[in-house]
Amino acid sequence: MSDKRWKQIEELYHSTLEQDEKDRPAFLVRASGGDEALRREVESLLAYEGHAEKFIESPAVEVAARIMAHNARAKVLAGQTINQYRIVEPLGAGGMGEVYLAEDTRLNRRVALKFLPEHLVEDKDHLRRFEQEARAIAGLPHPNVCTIHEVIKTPQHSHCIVMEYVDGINLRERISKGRMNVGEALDIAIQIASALSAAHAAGVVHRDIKLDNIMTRHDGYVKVLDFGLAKLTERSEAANSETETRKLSERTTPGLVMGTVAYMSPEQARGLPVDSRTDIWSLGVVIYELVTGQKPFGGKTPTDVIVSIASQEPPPLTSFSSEIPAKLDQIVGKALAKDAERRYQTADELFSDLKSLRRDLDIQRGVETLKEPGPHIFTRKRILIASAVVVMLFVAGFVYTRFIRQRLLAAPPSEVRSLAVLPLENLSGDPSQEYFADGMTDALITDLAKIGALRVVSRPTVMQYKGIRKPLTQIGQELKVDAILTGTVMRSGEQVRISVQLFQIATEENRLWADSYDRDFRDMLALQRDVTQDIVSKIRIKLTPQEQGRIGNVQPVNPNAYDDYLRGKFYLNRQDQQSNEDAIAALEKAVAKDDRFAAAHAELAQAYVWKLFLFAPNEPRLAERAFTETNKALQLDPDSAVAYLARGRLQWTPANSFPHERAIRDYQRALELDPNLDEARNQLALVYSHIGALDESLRESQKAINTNPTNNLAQFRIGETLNFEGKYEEGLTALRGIPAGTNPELVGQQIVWALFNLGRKEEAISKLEELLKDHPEDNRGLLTSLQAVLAASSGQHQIAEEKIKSAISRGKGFGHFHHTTYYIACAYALMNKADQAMKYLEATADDGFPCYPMFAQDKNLNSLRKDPRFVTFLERQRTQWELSRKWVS
Amino acid sequence: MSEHSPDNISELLVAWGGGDESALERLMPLVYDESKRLAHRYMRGERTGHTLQTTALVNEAYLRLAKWKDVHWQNRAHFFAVSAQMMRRILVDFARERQYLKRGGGALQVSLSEAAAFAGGPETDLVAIDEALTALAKVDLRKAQMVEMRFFGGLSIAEVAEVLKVSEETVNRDWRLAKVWLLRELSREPAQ
Repeated sequence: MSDKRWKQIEELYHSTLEQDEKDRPAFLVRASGGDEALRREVESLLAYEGHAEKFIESPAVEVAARIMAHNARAKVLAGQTINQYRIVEPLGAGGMGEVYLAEDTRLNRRVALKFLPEHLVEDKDHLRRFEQEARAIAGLPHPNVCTIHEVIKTPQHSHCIVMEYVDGINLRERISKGRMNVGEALDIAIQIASALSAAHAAGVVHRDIKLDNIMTRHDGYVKVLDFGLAKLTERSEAANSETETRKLSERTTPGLVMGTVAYMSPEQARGLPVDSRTDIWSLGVVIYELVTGQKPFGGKTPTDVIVSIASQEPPPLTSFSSEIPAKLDQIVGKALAKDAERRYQTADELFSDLKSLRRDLDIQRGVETLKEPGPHIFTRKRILIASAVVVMLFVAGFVYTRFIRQRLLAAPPSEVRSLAVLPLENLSGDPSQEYFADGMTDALITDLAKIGALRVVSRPTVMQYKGIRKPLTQIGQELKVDAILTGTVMRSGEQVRISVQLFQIATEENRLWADSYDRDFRDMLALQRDVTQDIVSKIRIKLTPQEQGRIGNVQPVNPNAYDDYLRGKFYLNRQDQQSNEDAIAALEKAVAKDDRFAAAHAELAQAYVWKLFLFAPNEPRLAERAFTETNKALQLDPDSAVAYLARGRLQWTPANSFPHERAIRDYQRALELDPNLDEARNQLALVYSHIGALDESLRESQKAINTNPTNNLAQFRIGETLNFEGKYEEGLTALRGIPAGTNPELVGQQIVWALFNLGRKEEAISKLEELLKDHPEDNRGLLTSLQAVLAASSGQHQIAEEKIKSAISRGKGFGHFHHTTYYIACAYALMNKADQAMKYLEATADDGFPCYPMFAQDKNLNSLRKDPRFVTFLERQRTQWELSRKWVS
Repeated sequence: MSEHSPDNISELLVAWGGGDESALERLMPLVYDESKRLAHRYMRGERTGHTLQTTALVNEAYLRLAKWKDVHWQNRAHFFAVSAQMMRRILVDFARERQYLKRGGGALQVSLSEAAAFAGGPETDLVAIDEALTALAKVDLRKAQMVEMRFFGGLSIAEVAEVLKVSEETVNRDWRLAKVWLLRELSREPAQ
């Protein structure tokens, strides 16, 4: 710059300063006499007027002294304990205060303590708003949000934020050596979007998303720092901003804040009120910078940057590298829409688009990988090739695209439509951690089972392979699956390492993919989601948008509560009484620690339902507890399959007069959400069989057996339903197929019924005697009523009447009595006592067992068939049966 | 102790002014001692603020030097200029070393730009100021010298006016412009 020019600038600067603030812009335009460059230069200097007052007024030696003081204080603080935090060492210092690594002696974990400088907390209003947001973040454990544990205040120290310690580097340092490849950048961006989505849902806007505020841990995990901190430095909004210069000075602090200007949304830069969409813009800037190594909006001065933000479009991403897919450019373009209304409206939408892009890229990359043998290693070259394919696909026309896709998808090995997750092995060397490995296995199965197009072998079936070593191809054949996932779990304190391998099973093992995940225990839910998503992308299965939502939807959960939850589920899976109590205890703890933990509420409801039906039928209090938990679960997560199952079971009771339709809807919904929930299928088959939807009942039971070959209850239901249909031979075969010792009373009475109806009375009688010997109490009166039937059919009317009386007195008070009443009706019909027979037949139908096809076919009722009362009864049952067809699917 | 004697200090200053770089290293402990003294006051919670106007160091050195009749200073201005340069070199080196340690230390759970709102503001980054000042010297040498004397040398407006033989009003105007110029320079993004 020439001296003359500099003189000009100097003079204009000072003469402008002499004007009233509001007159300055106009004066500047006039005085610069059309010399635009001159005007801009002076304007950009004036922008700093408001901040220059204190700048370098204290001598440099004071600055040095302050640095020394900080060092000295750090030394003093190290080793000190504040509340339960023992300070280990300083991590650094910044505008928001000094940060120390500390040990939380109570919870035995590392934390970071950030001491806020006094001047930042002087403004009580800002402090209050900050504390509000800190609480919101504290209540939001999310794997990508650097969690604030608490904010403490001690007499000796100013306010101190206790937060999660993140061991890693920030994104600015990360890209200091050059831009990232698209895959890496997407991984990071997806995690940031996920963090924003959770925070926004909790009402917290970050306001200062930038490379410096985002850390990547050594395990690749992304953590967004300082949610809510912007509240402390925010300037009060000026009512009326007159000039660009003034606007700038209100919104920014010069110096290092320049970095912030570059990420500011247009509305933020103008000093207008901001909402969550400002974070979406800033994330757009971050993604742009990650993949190009350059900021989308630049300029010599902050004013220039702001002008650029407000009015210029950055060069398209695709102009930087052929590796960058056009789709990413579209996504970033939408995040960087100047008009907030045209931007992504929620971080969720951005998250979904980023994820589906990553999936598309994975598919292309997978195609490349499958062409090469050996383990899957992400080399830069391969990604480049894959990306080139992607770019080609975008560039190519529709026909060409489809042609390529068809060819790619036809390439072997291809379809995985069924999958078994073998029990993950517990490598912790601690048997008490077994619940954790099992819990992880269970969680993966449950997540994957949400995918309609994929058959996933159920937990009980795969659990049979626990600890058993067999060739995978053999297991694959036994379970009739295309692919098998194996893996190990190692947990050590808060750290969890999960390694998984996916094999395609045709004639030989073909490893499709292997990966390891190192995470914090608190991130378990996100880990499950990530593993599931990775598997989905490897087996190239198509998800419906709803399925995508359900799999991607990870509700943040208190990690300790999650631990209790896993224990609870572990116990719940064994169905003995002690385990039921243990399950209830663990799940109660889980919900006490995290009342918003939907899955824990649902499992707790299930545990109470089991207790109610299996171990303590006379405690109505349990039903109330179960209902409360079910409702909580459904309020928190309307997609909780387990909660619908529990609700169905709670409703379909004698006390409630067996509301078939409502129960059916709940079970259907549960199965829609989790097709592998074979227990819900059992229940659905049960209700179907009661209302005479016998074919449908058989179909549901069969499906339940397909997902769980050890589902003996479904096997029983098939036998029973075949009996209801009058197919006693087949019924008997089905019932005989159930392993001995499985609920012998329930299975036995149906065997007796089949034998009796097949005319094998001797066998029926001896079977019945055997059963009564083992179960003399016969508290439903069911066995006794069968005795009545057998006696009636042999013409022993007196014995039959006695047995009927005995059955009624035994079963009185036992709710589920309609099977007994049906046998009584049959006994009376066999004795030609039509009045009594009709009475008990009506009672059977009215009391929750309106099984029209059975009434229509059962030869035991033949003496009634000409009775007008029976004709009317049967007609009414038929009408009702036809009406009920519409609930049945 | 003898190392810190006035004679020694003056000698070193003269030597450094004359181009002997090694003299600076031997001056450092003196500057550090002064900084430490201040640091202790901070830690005791004493507000130092503008009243202290740490000219003490330079002034002391000057007073000592003034007794040294044989020193061939061209003039008072020359002395202050050299003293301020010395302070600049020592303090910036000190800060640079600190930064290096910080980065070498690895994980910093602090966003670097947080410094923005800190009490000290952007001047906490002495290294950046040093660079900005070098840039200013190319545009306007007098203003750069002025900043060096004010900020690094610790002189007051009046003292600067006296040394540079200009009116206080001129110093005020120059100071004001120099500050905004530097602030703007500091706002520049680091090279990509």
